[in-house]
Amino acid sequence: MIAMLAVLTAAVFSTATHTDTTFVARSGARLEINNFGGDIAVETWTRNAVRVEADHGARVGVVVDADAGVVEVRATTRLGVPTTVDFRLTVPRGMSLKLTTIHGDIDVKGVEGDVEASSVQGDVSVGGPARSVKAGSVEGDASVSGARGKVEVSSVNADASAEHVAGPISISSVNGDVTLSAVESDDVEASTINGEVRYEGAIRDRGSYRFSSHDGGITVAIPDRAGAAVSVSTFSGGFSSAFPIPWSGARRSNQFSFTLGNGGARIELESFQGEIRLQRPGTGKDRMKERDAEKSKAKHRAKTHDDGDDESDEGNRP
Amino acid sequence: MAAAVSGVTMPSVDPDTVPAASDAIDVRLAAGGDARAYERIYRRHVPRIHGLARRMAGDDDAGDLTQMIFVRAWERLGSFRGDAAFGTWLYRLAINVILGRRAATRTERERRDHGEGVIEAIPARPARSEHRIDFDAAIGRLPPGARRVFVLHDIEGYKHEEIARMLRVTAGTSKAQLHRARMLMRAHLER
Amino acid sequence: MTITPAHDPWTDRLSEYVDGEMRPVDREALEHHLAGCPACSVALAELRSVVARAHALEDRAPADDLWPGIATAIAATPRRAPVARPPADWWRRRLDLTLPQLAAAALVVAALSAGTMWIALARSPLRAPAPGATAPVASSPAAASQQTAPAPASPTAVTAATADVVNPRYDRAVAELEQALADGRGRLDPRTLQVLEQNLRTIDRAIGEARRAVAADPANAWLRSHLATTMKRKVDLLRTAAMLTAGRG
Ligand SMILES: [Zn+2]
Repeated sequence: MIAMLAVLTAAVFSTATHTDTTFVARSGARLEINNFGGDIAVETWTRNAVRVEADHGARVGVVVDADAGVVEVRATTRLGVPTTVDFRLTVPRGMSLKLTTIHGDIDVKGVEGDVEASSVQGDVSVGGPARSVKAGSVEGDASVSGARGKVEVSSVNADASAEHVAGPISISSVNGDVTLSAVESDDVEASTINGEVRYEGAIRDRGSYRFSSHDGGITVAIPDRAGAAVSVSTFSGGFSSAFPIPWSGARRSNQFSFTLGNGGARIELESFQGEIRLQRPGTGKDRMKERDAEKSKAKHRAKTHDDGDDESDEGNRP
Repeated sequence: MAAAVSGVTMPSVDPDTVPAASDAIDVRLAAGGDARAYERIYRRHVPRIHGLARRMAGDDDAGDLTQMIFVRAWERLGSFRGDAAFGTWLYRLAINVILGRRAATRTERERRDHGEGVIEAIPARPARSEHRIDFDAAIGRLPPGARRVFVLHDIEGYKHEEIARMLRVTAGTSKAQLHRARMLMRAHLER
Repeated sequence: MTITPAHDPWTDRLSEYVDGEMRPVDREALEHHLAGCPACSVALAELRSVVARAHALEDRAPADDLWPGIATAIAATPRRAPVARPPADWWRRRLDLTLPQLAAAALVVAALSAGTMWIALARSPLRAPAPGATAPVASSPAAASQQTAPAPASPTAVTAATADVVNPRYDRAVAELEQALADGRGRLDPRTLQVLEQNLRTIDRAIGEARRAVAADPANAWLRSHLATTMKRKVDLLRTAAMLTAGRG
């Protein structure tokens, strides 16, 4: 039951509330889903085919558009009313993805291509050896793990996190924490306004590491033998270190710098009114884990997805 | 912090949602008398409205009906309250216009077709006509009662209860007509 | 058309089955029947194809352009429920302004990269930094440019410059984006709107705090860079919000 899609539109509809279709994907094609409401979950398999499973209302169709390098999967309703569709996709490992949804979570696992995923109200999570990742949410958490290349993670009102990543990282929130762990990157930029910034990972020679918060603390685990020129800036926050600091030269109480080891990396630590803390790897970990556990517990509170019927036009009758 | 702090990666503008956003603006402009805004509305919606008219009433009348629908909608724009999607409102109006005109011009033959004798008319086997016509065009050849139910249910997605209300028949009749239409449409499946 | 001699009553119920509208007990009976009736099985498959095909029908514009006829008709048609003119005009004026404004604001913001702001910062008059004071942030462009900037100006000038620390384009972009958000707020989910506004307030508070800190310590390059960065965050968030109102219905 595999349909070959070249440059054509294939409409895959079902009367029931479940769609399940599999089609061959051109190698190198990018898959796009622009969903209004509902979750998007993506996994991989070794076949060179895309399987789309969707749960939706009875008036909804699922359409697959294949054109040049892009395969677009979308939900349609005859009346053009936005609708809630939960998509489950199984894609070839090397495929690239561009996924968006308004009310719903996105969960991508195992994809090796470039992944862009954004939600307005839901959580976004991208795990696996992606070539690059852009993951963002306004209201939900955004997290990335295992990516090989460039990583951009952002949330507005919740937490942003990245772990086991190696490429350049840019990660931010406004009202949320920013957490980086098991990082093997030489280019890290992490910032939030009202939240904590935590870092645990490599400090590479000639690498650049910039951490900033307005209200919250900055906690960075610096490996024993790391060499870095460190600058610390705060307005009304504090500074503490779990290991001795080799002070030298002039310093003001709230802005100063020092050099660790060969000074090869550059580390900037900035918090307007939070605590800036240096630790050794491992020491802060338990606390971080505890916090993460608390967070995930809190997150499993009931979600409020709209799954009302797709229209109510009574009373608006012409 | 010299490099730009990355902005939030947001959904790009979805072409599919542009009509909705543009409608909101154009409808208000058109309600204020702006015919150019109304033309934009017309261009966005005419394929669907014309498709509905064509399938419900047949090719010959589809053009006239489509014009009637858009003129009627223009007259009533002021009563569109904006709490449903404009497309939904327009669609409902279109169905009313189409069904309203049917009531005025209903023929003797149509009345006979309507509701009765459903079972007997179902061919045991789909007849394969020599000159097979396109599935879409074949809808226009269905008996009118069956055609309307088929269009409203299988193409437009209304439920039997809603269709029954619109057509002033029972839900049972709607179901029977639908089955009849589907059985007939089997002959026009492209293979 | 042939009339089935021995009519199979199950045939009539196949559509109900396709639509999932059968009572469980009937469904089971039909499924039992299907197992032994090839005719019904074939008909069932065909009915499913008919339904799928109907769902997949594409609409297309009519071959003849119907608009000229409609245009003529509406030119001659009075409205049944005439809309009051002032609101209509008001909408028109407002909307004509709003969308191009939004586009313009987006362009301005795109041009207003962090880099632009740094340059603007570096060019505003500053008191010569106390020796060693800027060392911690010497790597940032602001600090770097600042060290080569001509020495300044009276303390009064410094305060004035820092009061509007970046440049007029920033303020205009913010104002336009804020206006776009205000105009489009009706198109956002109320919850999302609330979250965005709450986060904008968070950033505004941070900007206010940073501004006051800069005013108290104008020579502090790091504070100025922190202020600029925070202001940039506001533009980013406003841009996000404006895109949401513009792109989503
Ligand atoms: Zn049978």
